[in-house]
Amino acid sequence: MKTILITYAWQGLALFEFLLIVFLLLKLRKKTKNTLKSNFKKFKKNEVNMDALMKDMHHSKDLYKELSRKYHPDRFIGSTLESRAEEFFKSIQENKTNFNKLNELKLQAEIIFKI
Amino acid sequence: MWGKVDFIINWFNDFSERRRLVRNFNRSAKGAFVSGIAPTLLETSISRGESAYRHSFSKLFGGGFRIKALSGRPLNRQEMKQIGDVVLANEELVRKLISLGWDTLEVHDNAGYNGLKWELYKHAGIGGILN
Repeated sequence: MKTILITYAWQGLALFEFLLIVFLLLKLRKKTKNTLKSNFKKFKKNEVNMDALMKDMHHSKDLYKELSRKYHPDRFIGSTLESRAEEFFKSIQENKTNFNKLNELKLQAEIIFKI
Repeated sequence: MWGKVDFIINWFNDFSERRRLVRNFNRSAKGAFVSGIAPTLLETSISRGESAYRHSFSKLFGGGFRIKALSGRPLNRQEMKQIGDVVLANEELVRKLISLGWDTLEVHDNAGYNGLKWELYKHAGIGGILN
């Protein structure tokens, strides 16, 4: 009687483990499917940020002029900030049409050059 | 036969994606104008494009991405160049335009007869793959 009970217990445990493995496998498969689906959705929704583009079109020029005038390397000749001004001017020129980036640079410049 | 079916499905997909891009641009331009961010109202449309600028992915009779500025006065060359330069500086947008079959970027105003044109693939930075 005792042996039979032990056998049933082991069988029950094995069945439980088997079901658990199946459940986990199914969950993993579902997760993979969902990731692929969401990736595809992301790709489909991958739109260019047009609002930022509008700001670039209409405001980047003024900001670029302001920054390039204010932090031109010629204004820092002979000072300790000369090399930093040159680097900064390069990055301004690289992001000439990027309004958000120019705004970030402006904030950085206010801290570095304290003008 | 399946090749033709694929071609037709792709053509319709590209078409809807092109329309979506134009619609998004116009919506943002309108929003920017209404909220006072932009002093000029911009509008894009699909034009025929410049035949000399065609590449292997160009759409027939639809290779031009035309931006029209409703300024009320003829824009000068610098103003038009500023608009074009911003579009061309956005590499993601340029690549998207090329992949969707555009080959020419055109900037015009609503009052004058002058406009500027750019060859898109020269500004995509794709290492001459389309040459």
